[in-house]
Amino acid sequence: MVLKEDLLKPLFLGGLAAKIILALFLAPAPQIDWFIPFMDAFWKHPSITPWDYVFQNSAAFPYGITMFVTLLPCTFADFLLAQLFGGGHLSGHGITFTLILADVWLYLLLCLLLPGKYDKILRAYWLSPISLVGIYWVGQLDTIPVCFLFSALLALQQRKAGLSGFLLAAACSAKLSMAAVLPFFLIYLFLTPRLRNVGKDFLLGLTGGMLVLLIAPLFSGGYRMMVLGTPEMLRVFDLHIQMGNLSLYLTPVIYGLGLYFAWRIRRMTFDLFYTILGLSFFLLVFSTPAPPGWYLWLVPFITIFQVNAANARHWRLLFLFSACVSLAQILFWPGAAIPLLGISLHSFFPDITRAMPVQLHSIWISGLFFLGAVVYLSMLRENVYRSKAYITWRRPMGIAVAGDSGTGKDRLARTLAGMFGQESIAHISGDDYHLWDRFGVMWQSFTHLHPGANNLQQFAKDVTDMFCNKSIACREYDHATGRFNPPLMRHGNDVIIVSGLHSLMNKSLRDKYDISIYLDMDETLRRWFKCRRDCLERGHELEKVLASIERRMSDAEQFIHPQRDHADIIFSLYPVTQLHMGTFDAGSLQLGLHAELRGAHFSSMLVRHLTGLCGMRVDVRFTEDLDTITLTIEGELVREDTAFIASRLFPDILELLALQPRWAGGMDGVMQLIVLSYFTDKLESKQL
Amino acid sequence: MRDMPRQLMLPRAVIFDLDNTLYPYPPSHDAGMNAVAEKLLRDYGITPAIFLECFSRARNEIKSRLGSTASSHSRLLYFMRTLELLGFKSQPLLALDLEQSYWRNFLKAAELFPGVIPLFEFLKTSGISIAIVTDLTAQIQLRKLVYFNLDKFIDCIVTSEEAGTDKPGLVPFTLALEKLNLPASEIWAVGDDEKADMQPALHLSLFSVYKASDGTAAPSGVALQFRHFAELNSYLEKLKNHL
Repeated sequence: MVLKEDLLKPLFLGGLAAKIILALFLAPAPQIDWFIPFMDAFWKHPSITPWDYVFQNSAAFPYGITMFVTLLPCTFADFLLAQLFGGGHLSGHGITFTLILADVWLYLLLCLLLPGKYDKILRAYWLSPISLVGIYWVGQLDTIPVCFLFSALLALQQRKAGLSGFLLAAACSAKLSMAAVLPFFLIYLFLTPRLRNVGKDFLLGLTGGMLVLLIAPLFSGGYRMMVLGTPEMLRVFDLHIQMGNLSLYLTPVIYGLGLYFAWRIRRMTFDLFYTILGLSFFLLVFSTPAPPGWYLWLVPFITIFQVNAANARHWRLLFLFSACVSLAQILFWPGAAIPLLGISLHSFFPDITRAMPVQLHSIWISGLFFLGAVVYLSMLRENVYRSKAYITWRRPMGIAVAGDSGTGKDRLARTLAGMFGQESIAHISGDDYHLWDRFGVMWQSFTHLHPGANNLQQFAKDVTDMFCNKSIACREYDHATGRFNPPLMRHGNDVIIVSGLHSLMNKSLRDKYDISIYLDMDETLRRWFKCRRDCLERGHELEKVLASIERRMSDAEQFIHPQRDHADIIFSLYPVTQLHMGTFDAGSLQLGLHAELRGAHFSSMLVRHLTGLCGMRVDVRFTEDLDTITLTIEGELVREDTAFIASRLFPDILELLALQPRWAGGMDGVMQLIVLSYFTDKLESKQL
Repeated sequence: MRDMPRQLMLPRAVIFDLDNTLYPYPPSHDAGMNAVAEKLLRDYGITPAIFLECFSRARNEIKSRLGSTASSHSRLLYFMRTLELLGFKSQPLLALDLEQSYWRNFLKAAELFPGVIPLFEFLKTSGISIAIVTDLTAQIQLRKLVYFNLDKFIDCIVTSEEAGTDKPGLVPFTLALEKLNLPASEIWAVGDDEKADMQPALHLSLFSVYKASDGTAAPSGVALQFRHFAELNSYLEKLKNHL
């Protein structure tokens, strides 16, 4: 609806009118020399292998099937009009009107990729000098493959991976050099754990598309000559350093470094992915004596950078860069003729430039290169180094969950793992570091809560190793049998969850965690839960469980409770309804939650949503030093509410979570939202 | 923006209707009803057509029994009676569950009209009080205000539950005037309903401002009408700059 209104804005309509006028009056050189004769020959002698026509110039149409098919409708209309009214030859307006449609198509794609930023996109893209000069003055067709590339990106954003793969094949078919983006797609899809399944669908679509659009036409000799034999393919070897008889080709090296950079980042969000893609295009275009069409590849990326620009200075810098690039296109490349006036300006500006001293050319090109480098570095800083995903995944994110026995540490760890996605989680449980299994005689003297009953040194070493991306061999304590399973290798991951009785005991470990959570619980409720778990799930006798709780009390006070002071978040569940020990029916149990948040900004929106949307009761209190916020929450929350609130309040970090997060209802869901809120807050402060 | 009266002064307070004036009501209501219909189909095998028929009957019965009162809009009462008509007799837990499902999904689909927040910000920075006069029960109307993040702007709220009668009864408006403690001639009333909002405003000599939607004609006697809140905002800004 809003987009429709934007299409009726004077700026859009004025720009469109200007483009139509340019298309009607200008006849760019490559179109007159190459593309128009090619399409003209096709319509006069239709064939399924149009490249097989013999042309004097083998560079007449160095494009593939999709480019050709895209040009068909408008050139057919042009052909019909030429047959009816003209001298039987194409006027060329069929091609230029196809380019106008591609221009509008790309504008709409950008609007769909960056919803809600229509006004900025209109100002940045629609009157982009590079686009105006490249399409209407120099007459390049590259907007069409760029449209296919951005259609592939949009499909990927909408999780239509198969379609995205097919569209990328279509982009490569339109212009073979587009294949340079393929490795970046593969890195994004296969090194980001949450996207691996999506990647398989993408590969299927890509393979199908390539078979039809890229492999099949290879049987045409003309296609092989024009598309594979285009001189553009060899431009990647132009930039080199001569070393005796050998040459060091710089463009492949720079491209390789771009790929290596993307591979090192590994886990990317969609925003980060297309930023890296745009920056790689920058490198590619600036490391070759790129033909003017390649600059059109940069336009949508420059638009995105402008739209996301942190301040007006970046916007102006990008505009200055665009203006300089378009001026270079006018000065160095053949321009257009104005057939209506009988004027040809094909070589007007290049002739003037050629008349100037060659040093001036070099100074101009050096200046442009310098400006491009400034833009590149500025974009790298603003869009990569300050990106939430980049900051988050530079090192694994650590979440520690500590608390007394029976307070729900494992349950919270599972809840958080469901949110971040099992494929992104490495979990270390303190239970695996008990010195003895359940049948060990030493338990007569020790409780599990005593540090001496746990191999805390190994625990600390393993946690540290995991944060350093090293693998560890760790045995697993089986609560059902009371025995340890044989050691298994465990590997680091994006999120490391460390749960256990002593997770927050060691200062050096605490420093590694991004979020430290301590689970407290109303004592009656804790006993009820523990008795329920140990009796029903682990088959213990109620009296023995109660005796064990009593025996552990002093150790809990001495070794567990002090960890509370080191937590960022303290969750404490309490019963809203009356509890009866011995009856373990949780059906009618209603829980409330106290949450203490230290060093976080107060998220009033979370409270508003819990109160307004879900009708929950939320009491908010601040401590005297304003450093701690206490929330007391009661009421019902269903998992759909959790999902809705998360998407509403934390849209920027959803891509850091599982592809389909397992949201929880009840107080588990509230805990997920609070952790997410704290995580967002932490991320913001890291960015500063 | 039409019918601009000349030599108008800035108001000292503006009374807004809530439902369908500050946000579009029908899509939210549809979302709420769909959620309830889906739940009844999934859990009890009741088809949407049967549910809607019973719901319509239940609502008509309750409205005719209770007249122009806040509780005549109560979704809880509607769903209780709907379940009875469906042959379930009294089902307190299910009725409460359906009511919650309705309002949650209603709110999830609810979006303020564009320009409401900037207008409210302008009114507050200009020292103009904001009041809400609305039908329905206080609990859900207050939840809506909290959810929309509008409560921080509001100086006075009157619901028909508090007033004892629905609009177009005059009591909700006179109650608001009492709370605002300002003369009626200095207060604007903004609403989308000719009968419920504009007629009482004219009767009490409030400056009536009609929120028009596509295809609706301006009622007679209305002082000012607008379609988008940005228009009302710029009109008020112009008034302020001319002072």
